[in-house]
Amino acid sequence: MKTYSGTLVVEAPIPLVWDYLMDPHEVGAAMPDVIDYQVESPTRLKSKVSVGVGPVRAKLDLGVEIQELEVPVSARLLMSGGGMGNGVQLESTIALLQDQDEPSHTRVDWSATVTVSGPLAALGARLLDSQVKKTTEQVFDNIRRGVMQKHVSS
Amino acid sequence: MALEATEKSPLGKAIKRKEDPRLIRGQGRYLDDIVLPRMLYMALVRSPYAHARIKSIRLDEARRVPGVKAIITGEDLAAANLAWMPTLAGDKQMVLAAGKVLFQYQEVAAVVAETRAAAEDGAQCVEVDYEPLQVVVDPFFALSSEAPVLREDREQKDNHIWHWAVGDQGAADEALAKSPVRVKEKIRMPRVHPAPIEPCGCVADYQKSTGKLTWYVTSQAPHAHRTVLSLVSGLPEHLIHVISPDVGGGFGNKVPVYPGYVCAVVLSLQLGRPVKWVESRSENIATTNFARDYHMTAEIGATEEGIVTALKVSTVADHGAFDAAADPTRFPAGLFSIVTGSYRFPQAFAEVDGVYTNKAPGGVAYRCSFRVTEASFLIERTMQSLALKLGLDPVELRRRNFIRPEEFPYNSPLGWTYDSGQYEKTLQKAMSLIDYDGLRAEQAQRRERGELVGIGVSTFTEIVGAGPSNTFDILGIKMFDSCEIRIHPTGKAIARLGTRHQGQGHETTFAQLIAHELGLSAADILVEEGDTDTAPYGLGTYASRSTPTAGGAAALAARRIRQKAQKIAAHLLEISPDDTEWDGIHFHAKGLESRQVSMVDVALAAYTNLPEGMEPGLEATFYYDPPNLTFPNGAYIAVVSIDRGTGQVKVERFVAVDDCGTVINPMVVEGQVHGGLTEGFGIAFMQEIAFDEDGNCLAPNFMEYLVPTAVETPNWETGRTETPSPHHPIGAKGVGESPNVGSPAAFVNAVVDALSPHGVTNVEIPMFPWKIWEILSQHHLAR
Repeated sequence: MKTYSGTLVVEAPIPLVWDYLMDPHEVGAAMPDVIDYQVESPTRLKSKVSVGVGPVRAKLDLGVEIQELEVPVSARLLMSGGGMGNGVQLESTIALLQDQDEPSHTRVDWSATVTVSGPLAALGARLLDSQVKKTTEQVFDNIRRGVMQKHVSS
Repeated sequence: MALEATEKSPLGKAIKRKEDPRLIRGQGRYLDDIVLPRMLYMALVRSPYAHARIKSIRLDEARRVPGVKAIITGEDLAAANLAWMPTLAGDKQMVLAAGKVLFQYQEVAAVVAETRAAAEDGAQCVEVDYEPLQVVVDPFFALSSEAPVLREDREQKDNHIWHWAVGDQGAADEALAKSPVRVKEKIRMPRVHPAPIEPCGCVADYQKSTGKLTWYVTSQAPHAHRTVLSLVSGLPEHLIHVISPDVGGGFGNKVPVYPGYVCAVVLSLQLGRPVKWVESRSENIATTNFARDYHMTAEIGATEEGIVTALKVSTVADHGAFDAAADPTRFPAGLFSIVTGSYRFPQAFAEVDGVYTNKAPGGVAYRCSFRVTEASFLIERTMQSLALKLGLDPVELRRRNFIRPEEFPYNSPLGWTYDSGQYEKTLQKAMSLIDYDGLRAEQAQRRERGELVGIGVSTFTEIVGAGPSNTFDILGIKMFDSCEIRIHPTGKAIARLGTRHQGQGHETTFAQLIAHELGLSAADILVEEGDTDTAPYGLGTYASRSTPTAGGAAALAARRIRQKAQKIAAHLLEISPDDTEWDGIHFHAKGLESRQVSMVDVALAAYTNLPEGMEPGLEATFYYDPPNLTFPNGAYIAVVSIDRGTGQVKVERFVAVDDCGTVINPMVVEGQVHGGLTEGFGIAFMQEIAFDEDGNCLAPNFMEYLVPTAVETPNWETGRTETPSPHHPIGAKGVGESPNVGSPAAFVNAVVDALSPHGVTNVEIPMFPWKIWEILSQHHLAR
């Protein structure tokens, strides 16, 4: 079990970022190396992603749930699933704050606790930490890009 | 120079191994070489979680994979009362996960298909929904009240398996309290794996028409496997034919019965077709039985002159999810009580607590006789600490405390009767071979130049040959072993034994032993093992037991034949049997050696020209119940230097002098010693199966779990002393495991010796370069 955290600034106001995060279609599309995803309800989706760590590659089926904690300030993102003998669990909390330097921008503070089991963890042990960190950061970077695209187009 | 296998009186000769021509030409027949008509292939679905409840298993998609014929889960096995199987240690183990999984890679379902690829594809499509549970990887936490109970199937609601103690605790405590000098060391022997090049596997071939199961299996103990399988499956034992083909290394790994074996048998019974299962490398390392994983504390008391007064040992043994060690029933910690080693401890006490954790089960005797490597490592390391504390040369400390030759048979304070040994002589030979005094002088010079150079000594005593029936059994079966010899009319013979070699050279050494007893050439004896329909019952090959047990049986079966042969010889010589003498090659008339007949002459007569009333034929079977164990020993000296820039340890020299009693074939003994030293080197410097806090196995492959190659392996210098065992028919003791038992401490003692002037008194194995470099940094020695 590892905990990762980070901060990113999205050049869009908080309501737009919040709406984006609460939309399972957008979150599904933000998954890195996503092969397919299906939205099951306004707060749940299923996705299939391809993951590679070192010499191991696996296709994972993940269930994703978005939970509102305090509108429009904080939310929780839960992912669990696995595939090809691997298990993955991610619990992430996200806090939205007005950026102090640029009030029209949103600061996103995130932290994620990730547990990986199976060959991905075992075979890729030496590489797993940096890969999980990279993948988690990529999720939020994709979210940032998605929000900004939406902001620009609107 | 190695000889061809034609010489008479071949005992002690370096005869070339009879098995090698086929093995080195690729003509061995290993398990995966077996292909039967209509054979199916099995793959196992394994858990990614170390501890989780199984909420559901969905098989629909897997069943749709082309070629998949059947899938079984724990629920299917439970319906047939096969969900659990007994372990050799008297515990029970899930065959396929029942309700929850207890270690990563645990077997959850078995998929059988027309091809291996289809079986693997099917296994990938089995969908298992897990609810992860708290994982326990630390055995000390496992013993705390905060730890979750892992084995919910047990009445006992904690993770403690057993407590085992031996010796007089009160007397040991008192002696320690009175000792002016005391040293205490915490020594860990990490989890390692035998890692044979051939992983485990089987082909189960059940014929519905005959009701007979032929089970080809990578087995070090085919008869024991037949009995266990009969007990598990309910199949009549006479309808189970176990064949252990050529085995590509065992080292203890192929003693237990594994879930994959049982699943293959169940599926063959169900489908009426042969089912093959061969595990992958990762499956072998991550799931089949590991070795060691002992957390040990030892305290030695001594006088100021360095005479030991007491030893006290406490140990936590991490057994993983099931107690699947292959120890004799009365010895849950194996023969760990050999921990007093080669030394005259007046008082000693040892205790071990077995603990469950979320790791793969095991605790096999990896090239050691039931926890003897752990014991030897502990005492040899702690003696080094005592020498450091006393400021004594480690050789001198050992000399002052050796059991002396005249003290044998020696009764140890922990209950063993050592058979024989000349420890001082053996050590002296090692010191002469390596020029110990010269080395110490050279070390002093090199230290002045700033070099980190160390000399490590290990003078170990092993305990092998389990064992006497009054003490040793596995699942109630006494640990005797057996040999049947049939001499054909032309004087050629076949010998079948209850053991099963995996590279030890039995086809040669047992042929030599029998030929020596019968006055034949080793080339005339065919040795067969591994077929339960033809070989007499025996407990198999592990723990250096083959020569002490089956070797004894072979010698005594041959002597039984000689008794009958003497009567036939007398008949041929037309004299009384009482007037007939055996000179090792011929029978002759007493006082008239020219009047003689050979065993070949006798063999022909046994089928053509018998004394009146004598039963025809010339054969015998002997089940040998050894009166005691045997106690091989050795003196090993390692010389190392440490690179201050990288932490890399270079083994500059290593001398191993072994005393394994009477030697049957010195070339085979030397080969065994080379192999064992190489494995001991791997354990000391390269190998550990570690787990992260989630129970992920971090070394389930040869990228992470390193096996020494010719590049890393040091040059081994070997020597021998020969002190026969007084109770063994030919005085042999066994050697296969001594080098693995004795060498790890020599390596560590050498590294500690290199660093001790700088305040380092202990280094944990494996001594990875990064770990040594950290120590160098901490002590301002890194460059």
